[in-house]
Amino acid sequence: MDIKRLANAMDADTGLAQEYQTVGDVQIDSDGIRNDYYLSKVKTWRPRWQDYGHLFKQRNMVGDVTMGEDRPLGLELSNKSTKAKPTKVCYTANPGGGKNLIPVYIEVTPFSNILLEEDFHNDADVKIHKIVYVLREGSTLNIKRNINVSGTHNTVQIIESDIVQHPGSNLYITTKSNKQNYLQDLYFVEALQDTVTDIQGRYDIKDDNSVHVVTDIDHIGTNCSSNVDVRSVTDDKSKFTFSGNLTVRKEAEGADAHLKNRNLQLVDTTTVITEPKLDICTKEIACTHGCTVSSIDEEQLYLLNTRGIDSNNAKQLLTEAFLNG
Amino acid sequence: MLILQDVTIATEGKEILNNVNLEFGPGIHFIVGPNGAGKSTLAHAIMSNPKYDITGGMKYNDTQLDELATWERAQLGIFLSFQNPTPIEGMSNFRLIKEAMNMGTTSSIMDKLNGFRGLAKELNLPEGWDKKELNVQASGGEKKKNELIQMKMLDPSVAILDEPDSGLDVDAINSLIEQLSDFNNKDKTIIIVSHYEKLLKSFEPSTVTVVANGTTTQTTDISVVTKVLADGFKDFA
Repeated sequence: MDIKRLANAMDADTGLAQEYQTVGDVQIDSDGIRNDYYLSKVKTWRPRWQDYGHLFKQRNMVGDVTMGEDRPLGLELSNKSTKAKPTKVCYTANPGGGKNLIPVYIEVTPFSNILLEEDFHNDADVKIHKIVYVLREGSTLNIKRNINVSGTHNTVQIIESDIVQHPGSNLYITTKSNKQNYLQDLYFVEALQDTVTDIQGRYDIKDDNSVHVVTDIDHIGTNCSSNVDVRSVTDDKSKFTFSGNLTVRKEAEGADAHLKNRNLQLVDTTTVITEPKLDICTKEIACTHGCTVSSIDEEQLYLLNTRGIDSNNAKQLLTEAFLNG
Repeated sequence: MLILQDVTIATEGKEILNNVNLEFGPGIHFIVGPNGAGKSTLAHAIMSNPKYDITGGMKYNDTQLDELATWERAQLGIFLSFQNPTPIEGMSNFRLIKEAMNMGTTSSIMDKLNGFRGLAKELNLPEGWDKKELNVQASGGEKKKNELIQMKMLDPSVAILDEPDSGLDVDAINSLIEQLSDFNNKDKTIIIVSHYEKLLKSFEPSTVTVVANGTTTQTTDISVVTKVLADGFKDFA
Protein backbone atom coordinates (compact mmCIF):
# COMPACT_ATOMS: atom_id res chain seq x y z
CA MET A 1 0.00 0.00 0.00
CA ASP A 2 1.33 3.43 -0.94
CA ILE A 3 1.03 6.69 0.94
CA LYS A 4 -1.05 9.20 -1.00
CA ARG A 5 -0.80 12.97 -0.86
CA LEU A 6 -3.77 15.28 -1.27
CA ALA A 7 -2.91 17.01 -4.53
CA ASN A 8 -5.90 19.35 -4.89
CA ALA A 9 -7.88 20.17 -1.78
CA MET A 10 -10.75 21.64 -3.74
CA ASP A 11 -11.65 21.83 -7.35
CA ALA A 12 -12.37 25.46 -8.36
CA ASP A 13 -15.37 24.51 -10.51
CA THR A 14 -17.13 21.79 -8.61
CA GLY A 15 -15.94 22.46 -5.10
CA LEU A 16 -15.38 18.72 -4.76
CA ALA A 17 -12.51 16.83 -6.38
CA GLN A 18 -10.21 15.50 -3.78
CA GLU A 19 -7.47 14.13 -5.94
CA TYR A 20 -4.72 12.08 -4.43
CA GLN A 21 -1.30 11.26 -5.82
CA THR A 22 0.80 8.33 -4.88
CA VAL A 23 4.06 9.50 -3.37
CA GLY A 24 5.62 6.23 -2.28
CA ASP A 25 6.07 4.43 1.02
CA VAL A 26 6.88 7.42 3.22
CA GLN A 27 5.98 11.11 3.05
CA ILE A 28 7.97 13.55 5.14
CA ASP A 29 6.84 17.15 5.64
CA SER A 30 7.19 19.77 8.33
CA ASP A 31 4.25 18.35 10.26
CA GLY A 32 5.47 14.81 10.50
CA ILE A 33 6.01 11.52 8.79
CA ARG A 34 3.34 9.37 7.24
CA ASN A 35 4.30 5.90 6.31
CA ASP A 36 2.64 2.77 5.12
CA TYR A 37 1.20 1.16 8.21
CA TYR A 38 1.98 -2.26 6.86
CA LEU A 39 5.58 -1.42 6.06
CA SER A 40 7.26 -3.18 8.95
CA LYS A 41 10.78 -2.25 7.89
CA VAL A 42 10.10 1.46 8.49
CA LYS A 43 9.65 2.72 12.04
CA THR A 44 8.94 6.38 12.81
CA TRP A 45 9.48 8.29 15.99
CA ARG A 46 10.45 11.73 17.33
CA PRO A 47 14.10 11.59 18.40
CA ARG A 48 14.97 13.58 21.52
CA TRP A 49 16.76 16.81 20.67
CA GLN A 50 19.31 16.40 23.47
CA ASP A 51 20.35 13.05 21.94
CA TYR A 52 20.51 14.05 18.30
CA GLY A 53 20.54 17.87 18.18
CA HIS A 54 24.31 18.08 17.75
CA LEU A 55 24.01 16.39 14.37
CA PHE A 56 21.79 19.16 13.08
CA LYS A 57 24.26 22.02 12.85
CA GLN A 58 23.61 23.85 9.58
CA ARG A 59 26.25 24.29 6.90
CA ASN A 60 24.36 25.68 3.93
CA MET A 61 25.08 28.99 2.20
CA VAL A 62 21.85 30.70 3.27
CA GLY A 63 22.64 30.68 6.95
CA ASP A 64 19.75 32.88 8.07
CA VAL A 65 17.28 30.13 8.87
CA THR A 66 17.42 29.11 12.48
CA MET A 67 16.40 25.68 13.52
CA GLY A 68 15.47 26.45 17.09
CA GLU A 69 14.89 23.28 18.97
CA ASP A 70 12.32 21.65 16.76
CA ARG A 71 12.53 17.97 17.36
CA PRO A 72 13.64 16.19 14.22
CA LEU A 73 11.49 13.61 12.55
CA GLY A 74 12.92 10.16 12.94
CA LEU A 75 12.88 7.24 10.58
CA GLU A 76 14.45 3.90 11.36
CA LEU A 77 15.11 1.55 8.49
CA SER A 78 15.96 -2.08 8.84
CA ASN A 79 16.19 -4.97 6.43
CA LYS A 80 18.39 -7.99 6.96
CA SER A 81 17.75 -9.51 3.56
CA THR A 82 20.70 -9.36 1.17
CA LYS A 83 18.39 -7.98 -1.52
CA ALA A 84 16.97 -4.59 -0.61
CA LYS A 85 13.46 -3.75 -1.75
CA PRO A 86 13.26 -0.03 -2.47
CA THR A 87 11.68 2.26 0.12
CA LYS A 88 10.29 5.37 -1.55
CA VAL A 89 10.48 8.60 0.44
CA CYS A 90 8.93 11.86 -0.68
CA TYR A 91 10.12 15.05 1.06
CA THR A 92 7.28 17.53 0.82
CA ALA A 93 7.17 21.26 1.48
CA ASN A 94 3.57 22.15 2.35
CA PRO A 95 2.10 25.63 1.88
CA GLY A 96 1.23 27.48 5.06
CA GLY A 97 3.44 25.24 7.13
CA GLY A 98 5.28 28.30 8.36
CA LYS A 99 8.53 26.42 8.55
CA ASN A 100 11.45 26.85 6.22
CA LEU A 101 13.34 23.87 7.49
CA ILE A 102 12.48 20.21 7.77
CA PRO A 103 14.90 18.31 10.03
CA VAL A 104 14.92 14.55 9.48
CA TYR A 105 16.92 11.86 11.22
CA ILE A 106 17.28 8.56 9.36
CA GLU A 107 18.93 5.62 11.02
CA VAL A 108 19.90 2.40 9.27
CA THR A 109 20.11 -0.41 11.83
CA PRO A 110 23.25 -2.61 12.10
CA PHE A 111 23.85 -4.97 9.17
CA SER A 112 20.75 -3.76 7.33
CA ASN A 113 20.67 -3.42 3.57
CA ILE A 114 18.53 -0.45 2.51
CA LEU A 115 17.64 1.02 -0.86
CA LEU A 116 16.11 4.48 -0.47
CA GLU A 117 14.47 6.22 -3.41
CA GLU A 118 14.16 9.91 -2.55
CA ASP A 119 11.93 12.43 -4.27
CA PHE A 120 11.26 16.11 -3.54
CA HIS A 121 7.98 18.00 -3.84
CA ASN A 122 7.55 21.72 -3.22
CA ASP A 123 4.22 23.40 -2.72
CA ALA A 124 5.87 26.27 -0.87
CA ASP A 125 8.81 28.64 -1.30
CA VAL A 126 12.24 28.43 0.32
CA LYS A 127 12.72 25.01 1.82
CA ILE A 128 15.72 23.51 3.51
CA HIS A 129 15.83 19.79 3.99
CA LYS A 130 18.29 18.92 6.68
CA ILE A 131 18.69 15.16 6.62
CA VAL A 132 20.95 13.26 8.98
CA TYR A 133 21.71 9.70 8.01
CA VAL A 134 23.34 7.42 10.54
CA LEU A 135 24.61 4.15 9.15
CA ARG A 136 25.17 1.71 11.97
CA GLU A 137 27.82 -1.03 11.99
CA GLY A 138 27.98 -3.16 8.86
CA SER A 139 24.96 -1.56 7.24
CA THR A 140 24.56 -0.60 3.58
CA LEU A 141 22.56 2.40 2.41
CA ASN A 142 21.95 2.94 -1.26
CA ILE A 143 20.25 6.28 -1.99
CA LYS A 144 18.79 7.09 -5.38
CA ARG A 145 17.94 10.77 -5.15
CA ASN A 146 15.83 12.52 -7.72
CA ILE A 147 15.85 16.32 -7.28
CA ASN A 148 13.61 17.10 -10.20
CA VAL A 149 11.35 19.02 -7.89
CA SER A 150 7.67 18.62 -8.61
CA GLY A 151 4.85 20.78 -7.25
CA THR A 152 3.85 24.39 -7.64
CA HIS A 153 7.10 25.97 -6.41
CA ASN A 154 10.60 25.26 -7.57
CA THR A 155 12.25 28.43 -6.43
CA VAL A 156 14.75 27.49 -3.76
CA GLN A 157 15.81 24.09 -2.61
CA ILE A 158 18.55 23.35 -0.15
CA ILE A 159 19.32 19.77 0.72
CA GLU A 160 21.87 19.27 3.43
CA SER A 161 22.83 15.67 3.97
CA ASP A 162 24.91 14.86 7.01
CA ILE A 163 26.04 11.28 7.07
CA VAL A 164 27.71 9.38 9.87
CA GLN A 165 29.19 6.07 8.79
CA HIS A 166 29.89 3.64 11.61
CA PRO A 167 32.56 0.93 11.13
CA GLY A 168 32.02 -1.43 8.23
CA SER A 169 29.17 0.54 6.69
CA ASN A 170 28.71 1.21 2.97
CA LEU A 171 27.10 4.28 1.44
CA TYR A 172 26.18 4.68 -2.23
CA ILE A 173 24.43 7.85 -3.42
CA THR A 174 23.28 8.55 -6.97
CA THR A 175 21.76 11.98 -7.48
CA LYS A 176 20.06 13.31 -10.58
CA SER A 177 18.78 16.83 -10.97
CA ASN A 178 17.57 18.78 -13.96
CA LYS A 179 14.94 21.40 -13.41
CA GLN A 180 15.06 23.49 -10.24
CA ASN A 181 15.75 27.23 -10.31
CA TYR A 182 18.12 27.14 -7.40
CA LEU A 183 19.71 24.22 -5.64
CA GLN A 184 22.27 23.62 -2.99
CA ASP A 185 23.03 19.93 -2.73
CA LEU A 186 25.40 19.44 0.17
CA TYR A 187 26.97 16.25 1.49
CA PHE A 188 28.99 16.00 4.69
CA VAL A 189 30.29 12.52 5.46
CA GLU A 190 32.10 11.30 8.58
CA ALA A 191 33.74 7.97 7.81
CA LEU A 192 34.74 6.20 11.00
CA GLN A 193 36.51 2.97 10.05
CA ASP A 194 36.51 0.35 7.26
CA THR A 195 33.79 2.22 5.40
CA VAL A 196 32.94 2.61 1.72
CA THR A 197 31.55 5.91 0.42
CA ASP A 198 30.49 6.47 -3.17
CA ILE A 199 28.77 9.68 -4.28
CA GLN A 200 27.73 10.14 -7.91
CA GLY A 201 26.04 13.45 -8.77
CA ARG A 202 24.63 14.37 -12.19
CA TYR A 203 23.32 17.92 -12.72
CA ASP A 204 21.77 19.18 -15.95
CA ILE A 205 21.34 22.96 -15.67
CA LYS A 206 19.57 25.30 -18.09
CA ASP A 207 18.20 28.86 -18.44
CA ASP A 208 19.51 31.09 -15.64
CA ASN A 209 19.30 28.36 -13.01
CA SER A 210 21.94 27.99 -10.39
CA VAL A 211 23.24 24.82 -8.73
CA HIS A 212 25.84 24.54 -6.00
CA VAL A 213 27.26 21.25 -4.83
CA VAL A 214 29.48 20.60 -1.84
CA THR A 215 30.96 17.26 -0.92
CA ASP A 216 32.93 17.01 2.28
CA ILE A 217 34.36 13.63 3.13
CA ASP A 218 36.16 13.31 6.44
CA HIS A 219 38.27 10.15 6.75
CA ILE A 220 38.49 9.76 10.50
CA GLY A 221 39.56 6.16 11.09
CA THR A 222 41.59 3.56 9.26
CA ASN A 223 40.87 1.85 5.93
CA CYS A 224 38.06 4.03 4.66
CA SER A 225 37.55 4.33 0.93
CA SER A 226 35.69 7.15 -0.79
CA ASN A 227 34.85 8.00 -4.37
CA VAL A 228 33.19 11.25 -5.42
CA ASP A 229 32.21 11.74 -9.06
CA VAL A 230 30.20 14.88 -9.78
CA ARG A 231 29.30 16.00 -13.29
CA SER A 232 27.42 19.01 -14.58
CA VAL A 233 26.14 20.16 -17.95
CA THR A 234 25.50 23.90 -18.17
CA ASP A 235 23.57 25.65 -20.92
CA ASP A 236 22.18 29.16 -21.56
CA LYS A 237 23.15 31.46 -18.66
CA SER A 238 23.20 28.86 -15.92
CA LYS A 239 25.70 28.60 -13.11
CA PHE A 240 27.32 25.65 -11.39
CA THR A 241 29.79 25.60 -8.53
CA PHE A 242 31.46 22.60 -6.96
CA SER A 243 33.47 22.49 -3.81
CA GLY A 244 34.97 19.10 -3.05
CA ASN A 245 36.58 18.79 0.34
CA LEU A 246 38.57 15.75 1.28
CA THR A 247 40.13 15.36 4.68
CA VAL A 248 42.32 12.44 5.68
CA ARG A 249 43.18 12.68 9.34
CA LYS A 250 46.47 11.61 10.87
CA GLU A 251 44.92 8.42 12.23
CA ALA A 252 43.21 7.52 8.94
CA GLU A 253 45.90 5.25 7.52
CA GLY A 254 44.95 3.03 4.62
CA ALA A 255 42.57 5.61 3.17
CA ASP A 256 41.71 5.23 -0.51
CA ALA A 257 40.17 8.51 -1.65
CA HIS A 258 39.20 9.72 -5.11
CA LEU A 259 37.59 13.01 -6.06
CA LYS A 260 36.49 13.88 -9.57
CA ASN A 261 34.45 16.75 -10.99
CA ARG A 262 33.79 17.00 -14.74
CA ASN A 263 31.82 19.82 -16.29
CA LEU A 264 30.49 20.15 -19.80
CA GLN A 265 29.87 23.74 -20.88
CA LEU A 266 27.54 23.76 -23.88
CA VAL A 267 27.94 27.52 -24.43
CA ASP A 268 30.41 30.05 -23.10
CA THR A 269 27.71 32.17 -21.47
CA THR A 270 27.50 29.79 -18.51
CA THR A 271 29.58 30.01 -15.37
CA VAL A 272 31.35 27.01 -13.87
CA ILE A 273 33.54 27.16 -10.80
CA THR A 274 35.18 24.04 -9.45
CA GLU A 275 37.38 23.84 -6.40
CA PRO A 276 38.92 20.71 -4.93
CA LYS A 277 40.34 21.07 -1.42
CA LEU A 278 42.44 18.28 -0.02
CA ASP A 279 43.76 18.15 3.51
CA ILE A 280 45.91 15.06 3.84
CA CYS A 281 47.55 14.47 7.20
CA THR A 282 49.00 11.00 6.77
CA LYS A 283 51.26 9.32 4.22
CA GLU A 284 49.87 5.81 4.11
CA ILE A 285 47.08 6.50 1.63
CA ALA A 286 46.08 6.43 -2.04
CA CYS A 287 44.46 9.66 -3.18
CA THR A 288 43.56 11.13 -6.57
CA HIS A 289 41.65 14.19 -7.69
CA GLY A 290 40.77 15.87 -10.97
CA CYS A 291 38.49 18.67 -12.08
CA THR A 292 37.81 19.61 -15.69
CA VAL A 293 35.67 22.08 -17.60
CA SER A 294 35.26 21.33 -21.30
CA SER A 295 32.99 21.88 -24.26
CA ILE A 296 31.52 19.30 -26.65
CA ASP A 297 34.26 17.05 -28.05
CA GLU A 298 34.56 17.81 -31.78
CA GLU A 299 35.84 14.30 -32.59
CA GLN A 300 32.83 12.70 -30.90
CA LEU A 301 30.49 15.10 -32.67
CA TYR A 302 32.09 14.23 -36.01
CA LEU A 303 31.80 10.50 -35.33
CA LEU A 304 28.05 10.85 -34.73
CA ASN A 305 27.74 13.07 -37.83
CA THR A 306 29.36 10.36 -39.95
CA ARG A 307 26.58 8.06 -38.81
CA GLY A 308 23.94 10.42 -40.18
CA ILE A 309 23.02 12.12 -36.90
CA ASP A 310 22.66 15.89 -37.29
CA SER A 311 24.62 18.20 -35.03
CA ASN A 312 21.72 19.23 -32.76
CA ASN A 313 20.74 15.64 -32.05
CA ALA A 314 24.37 14.64 -31.73
CA LYS A 315 24.99 17.34 -29.10
CA GLN A 316 21.94 16.18 -27.17
CA LEU A 317 23.16 12.59 -27.29
CA LEU A 318 26.64 13.57 -26.16
CA THR A 319 25.18 15.53 -23.25
CA GLU A 320 23.13 12.54 -22.21
CA ALA A 321 26.14 10.26 -22.60
CA PHE A 322 28.26 12.61 -20.49
CA LEU A 323 25.72 12.47 -17.67
CA ASN A 324 25.31 8.69 -18.03
CA GLY A 325 29.01 7.95 -18.04
CA MET B 1 29.10 6.82 -58.83
CA LEU B 2 31.23 8.92 -56.48
CA ILE B 3 33.28 11.51 -58.33
CA LEU B 4 36.04 13.79 -57.03
CA GLN B 5 37.09 16.51 -59.45
CA ASP B 6 40.15 18.76 -58.99
CA VAL B 7 39.95 18.38 -55.24
CA THR B 8 42.52 20.02 -52.99
CA ILE B 9 42.70 19.21 -49.29
CA ALA B 10 44.53 21.33 -46.73
CA THR B 11 44.63 21.68 -42.99
CA GLU B 12 45.92 24.59 -40.90
CA GLY B 13 47.12 26.29 -44.08
CA LYS B 14 49.17 23.27 -45.20
CA GLU B 15 48.21 21.52 -48.42
CA ILE B 16 48.09 17.74 -48.09
CA LEU B 17 46.68 16.62 -51.44
CA ASN B 18 46.01 18.47 -54.67
CA ASN B 19 44.72 17.71 -58.13
CA VAL B 20 42.69 14.77 -56.88
CA ASN B 21 40.53 13.34 -59.67
CA LEU B 22 38.90 10.04 -58.81
CA GLU B 23 35.86 8.00 -59.74
CA PHE B 24 34.41 5.20 -57.66
CA GLY B 25 31.60 3.19 -59.24
CA PRO B 26 29.99 0.02 -57.91
CA GLY B 27 32.59 -2.59 -56.94
CA ILE B 28 35.66 -2.76 -54.75
CA HIS B 29 38.36 -0.10 -54.88
CA PHE B 30 41.73 -0.05 -53.15
CA ILE B 31 43.54 3.00 -51.87
CA VAL B 32 47.21 2.38 -51.11
CA GLY B 33 50.16 4.59 -50.36
CA PRO B 34 53.08 5.12 -47.98
CA ASN B 35 52.51 6.17 -44.36
CA GLY B 36 51.55 9.79 -43.98
CA ALA B 37 50.78 10.26 -47.68
CA GLY B 38 47.20 11.34 -47.04
CA LYS B 39 45.06 8.21 -47.49
CA SER B 40 43.03 8.80 -44.32
CA THR B 41 42.83 12.49 -45.16
CA LEU B 42 41.25 11.59 -48.49
CA ALA B 43 38.73 9.29 -46.79
CA HIS B 44 37.77 11.98 -44.27
CA ALA B 45 37.57 14.65 -46.96
CA ILE B 46 34.87 12.64 -48.73
CA MET B 47 32.87 12.85 -45.46
CA SER B 48 33.65 16.59 -45.13
CA ASN B 49 35.59 16.37 -41.89
CA PRO B 50 35.57 19.97 -40.54
CA LYS B 51 39.29 19.63 -39.78
CA TYR B 52 40.07 20.01 -43.48
CA ASP B 53 39.72 22.86 -45.96
CA ILE B 54 38.47 21.30 -49.16
CA THR B 55 38.14 22.90 -52.57
CA GLY B 56 37.08 21.38 -55.88
CA GLY B 57 33.99 19.31 -56.64
CA MET B 58 32.53 16.13 -55.24
CA LYS B 59 29.46 14.44 -56.62
CA TYR B 60 27.55 11.31 -55.66
CA ASN B 61 25.19 10.10 -58.42
CA ASP B 62 23.18 13.24 -59.21
CA THR B 63 23.89 15.04 -55.95
CA GLN B 64 26.58 17.65 -55.60
CA LEU B 65 28.21 17.02 -52.20
CA ASP B 66 30.19 20.23 -51.79
CA GLU B 67 27.58 22.11 -49.75
CA LEU B 68 26.43 19.09 -47.76
CA ALA B 69 27.40 18.61 -44.11
CA THR B 70 28.88 15.34 -42.88
CA TRP B 71 25.58 14.01 -41.55
CA GLU B 72 23.83 14.81 -44.84
CA ARG B 73 26.46 12.86 -46.80
CA ALA B 74 25.98 9.96 -44.37
CA GLN B 75 22.22 10.11 -44.91
CA LEU B 76 22.82 9.89 -48.65
CA GLY B 77 24.35 6.47 -47.97
CA ILE B 78 28.07 7.22 -47.61
CA PHE B 79 29.74 5.49 -44.66
CA LEU B 80 33.23 5.89 -43.23
CA SER B 81 34.78 3.24 -41.04
CA PHE B 82 37.41 4.93 -38.85
CA GLN B 83 40.97 3.79 -38.47
CA ASN B 84 40.84 4.66 -34.77
CA PRO B 85 37.28 5.50 -33.74
CA THR B 86 36.77 7.91 -30.85
CA PRO B 87 35.39 6.49 -27.59
CA ILE B 88 32.14 7.89 -26.21
CA GLU B 89 31.58 7.12 -22.53
CA GLY B 90 27.96 6.75 -21.50
CA MET B 91 26.73 5.72 -24.96
CA SER B 92 26.25 2.05 -25.72
CA ASN B 93 27.17 0.37 -28.99
CA PHE B 94 23.54 -0.33 -29.82
CA ARG B 95 22.38 3.15 -28.83
CA LEU B 96 24.50 4.58 -31.63
CA ILE B 97 22.86 2.23 -34.12
CA LYS B 98 19.42 3.04 -32.75
CA GLU B 99 19.98 6.78 -33.15
CA ALA B 100 21.71 6.46 -36.51
CA MET B 101 18.79 4.45 -37.86
CA ASN B 102 16.35 6.89 -36.28
CA MET B 103 14.37 4.03 -34.80
CA GLY B 104 12.62 6.00 -32.06
CA THR B 105 10.44 3.56 -30.17
CA THR B 106 9.27 1.47 -33.09
CA SER B 107 8.70 -2.22 -32.74
CA SER B 108 11.54 -2.94 -35.17
CA ILE B 109 14.02 -2.18 -32.42
CA MET B 110 13.99 -5.77 -31.18
CA ASP B 111 14.62 -7.06 -34.71
CA LYS B 112 17.54 -4.68 -35.11
CA LEU B 113 18.87 -5.58 -31.68
CA ASN B 114 18.75 -9.26 -32.54
CA GLY B 115 20.49 -8.50 -35.84
CA PHE B 116 23.18 -6.58 -33.94
CA ARG B 117 23.68 -9.40 -31.47
CA GLY B 118 23.89 -11.92 -34.31
CA LEU B 119 26.64 -9.94 -36.03
CA ALA B 120 28.52 -9.47 -32.75
CA LYS B 121 28.40 -13.23 -32.22
CA GLU B 122 29.62 -13.95 -35.75
CA LEU B 123 32.57 -11.65 -35.11
CA ASN B 124 33.34 -13.32 -31.75
CA LEU B 125 32.67 -10.23 -29.72
CA PRO B 126 31.84 -10.83 -26.05
CA GLU B 127 28.24 -11.34 -24.92
CA GLY B 128 26.52 -8.09 -23.98
CA TRP B 129 28.44 -6.16 -26.65
CA ASP B 130 25.32 -4.13 -27.45
CA LYS B 131 25.39 -2.63 -23.95
CA LYS B 132 29.11 -1.90 -23.83
CA GLU B 133 30.17 1.73 -24.07
CA LEU B 134 31.14 2.81 -27.58
CA ASN B 135 34.87 2.21 -28.18
CA VAL B 136 35.58 2.46 -24.44
CA GLN B 137 38.06 -0.06 -23.02
CA ALA B 138 37.89 -1.96 -26.30
CA SER B 139 40.94 -3.40 -28.05
CA GLY B 140 41.93 -2.16 -31.51
CA GLY B 141 40.48 -5.31 -33.04
CA GLU B 142 37.18 -4.99 -31.16
CA LYS B 143 36.81 -1.40 -32.35
CA LYS B 144 37.34 -2.51 -35.95
CA LYS B 145 34.76 -5.26 -35.60
CA ASN B 146 32.35 -2.73 -34.14
CA GLU B 147 32.85 -0.47 -37.14
CA LEU B 148 32.07 -3.44 -39.36
CA ILE B 149 28.84 -4.10 -37.43
CA GLN B 150 27.84 -0.45 -37.88
CA MET B 151 28.49 -0.71 -41.61
CA LYS B 152 26.39 -3.82 -41.97
CA MET B 153 23.54 -2.48 -39.84
CA LEU B 154 23.40 0.89 -41.62
CA ASP B 155 23.77 -0.81 -45.02
CA PRO B 156 25.26 2.16 -46.92
CA SER B 157 25.66 2.37 -50.71
CA VAL B 158 29.23 3.60 -50.40
CA ALA B 159 31.47 2.20 -47.65
CA ILE B 160 34.90 3.73 -47.11
CA LEU B 161 36.98 1.53 -44.83
CA ASP B 162 40.11 3.14 -43.43
CA GLU B 163 42.52 0.30 -42.61
CA PRO B 164 39.78 -2.10 -41.51
CA ASP B 165 42.38 -4.82 -40.90
CA SER B 166 44.69 -3.08 -38.41
CA GLY B 167 44.58 -4.65 -34.98
CA LEU B 168 42.83 -7.80 -36.22
CA ASP B 169 44.25 -11.27 -35.66
CA VAL B 170 44.33 -13.93 -38.41
CA ASP B 171 40.89 -15.33 -37.57
CA ALA B 172 39.42 -11.87 -37.42
CA ILE B 173 40.95 -10.99 -40.82
CA ASN B 174 39.27 -14.06 -42.30
CA SER B 175 36.03 -13.01 -40.68
CA LEU B 176 36.44 -9.46 -42.07
CA ILE B 177 36.98 -10.84 -45.58
CA GLU B 178 33.89 -13.02 -45.17
CA GLN B 179 31.78 -10.08 -43.98
CA LEU B 180 32.99 -7.82 -46.80
CA SER B 181 32.31 -10.52 -49.38
CA ASP B 182 28.83 -10.90 -47.94
CA PHE B 183 28.28 -7.13 -48.02
CA ASN B 184 29.61 -6.74 -51.57
CA ASN B 185 26.96 -6.86 -54.29
CA LYS B 186 26.48 -5.21 -57.65
CA ASP B 187 25.09 -1.99 -56.18
CA LYS B 188 27.68 -1.36 -53.49
CA THR B 189 30.77 0.74 -53.73
CA ILE B 190 33.45 -0.39 -51.27
CA ILE B 191 36.61 1.67 -50.92
CA ILE B 192 39.32 -0.02 -48.85
CA VAL B 193 42.38 1.79 -47.53
CA SER B 194 44.90 -0.88 -46.59
CA HIS B 195 48.49 -2.07 -46.58
CA TYR B 196 47.65 -5.63 -45.72
CA GLU B 197 48.63 -8.18 -48.34
CA LYS B 198 46.10 -10.82 -47.46
CA LEU B 199 43.22 -8.39 -47.62
CA LEU B 200 44.40 -6.86 -50.88
CA LYS B 201 44.84 -10.30 -52.43
CA SER B 202 41.39 -11.45 -51.32
CA PHE B 203 39.44 -9.17 -53.63
CA GLU B 204 39.62 -8.22 -57.24
CA PRO B 205 39.33 -4.44 -57.26
CA SER B 206 37.76 -2.33 -60.00
CA THR B 207 40.37 0.38 -59.45
CA VAL B 208 43.52 0.99 -57.44
CA THR B 209 44.41 4.48 -56.27
CA VAL B 210 47.93 5.24 -55.14
CA VAL B 211 48.24 8.22 -52.83
CA ALA B 212 51.78 9.57 -52.89
CA ASN B 213 53.74 12.76 -53.38
CA GLY B 214 50.82 15.03 -52.54
CA THR B 215 48.44 13.69 -55.15
CA THR B 216 46.59 10.59 -56.32
CA THR B 217 46.89 8.24 -59.28
CA GLN B 218 43.96 6.00 -60.10
CA THR B 219 44.20 3.01 -62.41
CA THR B 220 42.19 0.00 -63.45
CA ASP B 221 45.42 -1.97 -63.86
CA ILE B 222 45.25 -4.10 -60.76
CA SER B 223 48.78 -5.41 -61.24
CA VAL B 224 49.76 -2.21 -59.42
CA VAL B 225 48.81 -3.98 -56.20
CA THR B 226 51.28 -6.81 -56.82
CA LYS B 227 53.96 -4.32 -57.83
CA VAL B 228 53.44 -2.19 -54.73
CA LEU B 229 53.43 -5.22 -52.44
CA ALA B 230 56.72 -6.37 -54.00
CA ASP B 231 58.61 -3.10 -54.55
CA GLY B 232 56.94 -0.51 -52.36
CA PHE B 233 56.03 3.00 -53.47
CA LYS B 234 59.38 4.26 -54.77
CA ASP B 235 58.15 4.42 -58.37
CA PHE B 236 55.37 6.78 -57.30
CA ALA B 237 57.61 9.22 -55.44
